[in-house]
Amino acid sequence: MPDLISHLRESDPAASVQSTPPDDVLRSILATPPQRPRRRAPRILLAGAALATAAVVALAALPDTDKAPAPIRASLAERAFAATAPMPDFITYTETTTVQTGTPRMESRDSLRQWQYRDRMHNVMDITQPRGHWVYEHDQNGGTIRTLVNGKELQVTRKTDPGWNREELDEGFKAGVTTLVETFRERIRGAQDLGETTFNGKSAHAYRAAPGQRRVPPGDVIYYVDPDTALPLGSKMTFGVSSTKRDGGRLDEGEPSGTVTITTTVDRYEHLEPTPENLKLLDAPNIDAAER
Amino acid sequence: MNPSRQDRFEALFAAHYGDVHRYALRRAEPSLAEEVVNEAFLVAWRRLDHVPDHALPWLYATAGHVLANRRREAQRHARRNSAAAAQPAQTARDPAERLAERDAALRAFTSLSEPDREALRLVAWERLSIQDAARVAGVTRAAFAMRVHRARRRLAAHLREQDADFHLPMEPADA
Repeated sequence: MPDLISHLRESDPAASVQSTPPDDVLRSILATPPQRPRRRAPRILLAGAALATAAVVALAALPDTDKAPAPIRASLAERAFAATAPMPDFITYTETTTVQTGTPRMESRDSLRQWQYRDRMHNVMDITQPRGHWVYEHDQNGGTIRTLVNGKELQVTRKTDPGWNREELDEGFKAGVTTLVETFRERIRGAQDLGETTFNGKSAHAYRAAPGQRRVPPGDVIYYVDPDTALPLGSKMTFGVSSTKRDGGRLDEGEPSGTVTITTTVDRYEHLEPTPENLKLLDAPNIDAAER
Repeated sequence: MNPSRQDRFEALFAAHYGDVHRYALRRAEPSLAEEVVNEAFLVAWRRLDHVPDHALPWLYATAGHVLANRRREAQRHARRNSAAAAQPAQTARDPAERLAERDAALRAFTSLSEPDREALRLVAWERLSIQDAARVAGVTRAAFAMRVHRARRRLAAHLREQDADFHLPMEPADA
């Protein structure tokens, strides 16, 4: 009986490759400065940070000083700005539900529970799609993000890991500890006033994000604010999608194939005293166990 | 230019270029693999002070991160252009899939999850010890040993489904 690993070794797709270190590559590398220069704008987010960013982006509205606010909007927007002032000495707890509809393959229902405090973040995201169901748990503590998928597979990313795009890494870590409402706060005052409406069965005031601003995703993004508390109720984003044509190794855009709507509801948003009991909410015992 | 720094890098490049190139070829198409190995050594040059004497696990981890960056860039491109971004692109790029039709072990291998595949690649093809492979994967030795153990069991199960006959001894590297 052959050993399993030995048998797999015999099937190594690169076993017969004899690579000669290329002189031209070596010369090119040696010609670059030893210190790493700034690279082009990073766009990649870590898995854990991406979840946090998704929640942040979903509620983002950007300031636009060219558009003077109407009196009622200015009042509510200013109240929202004041109501969402940072509270760094408290643990911020956020609970959201996101539903994505429009094309069958992209249908998704996600729930997020997230605790953030200083340089720490712990969240649990439950994702249900036609292709399956996943539970992601993230633990960010200083310069380390740990991700546990379905309670089994563990990934660890450290700020000191080599090879990552440094700016992207920094942005990802920053997003992990930026609260949803902090981002909402910096952006709500410039959004276009769409007037009174309802959202998720509640009275709401709607705003449209200014286009072309940083972090605003493509498409139409509407934000809903509670007129009583001036806190965000949620958002609705719509954008068109197209089919893809593969031309060799290249992906090209094909015909428009539908419209996707992503609705995020803020189910709960609160600040907790950093008592020993509440600080335990930032711990991730499942991830600790998986790492052991 | 500091001669000792350059000497050290040239020695590193000569000793390990082939290893890192094969590492990339096991995970990506040849054109992408070449870009990955070159960029990994560029990172090594820029961060030479951080490269440990036992450099290979560090180089593999760096190449893995470079490859992950490249794949996310491709996925972002797809996401911008198409609903097809919802499809997992990573497994479709596994070079093992091209060869799987004529190899029972690779057929079983390609039916595993990506984390299982990666654990087995590091141990079987990169021939790393559990300690070094854990360093590449960014997890503890114990966690990686468990990951390999489970991956082997699942690989064996898939092979049994194909009527192949294998046992599961622990390798010296597992000890």
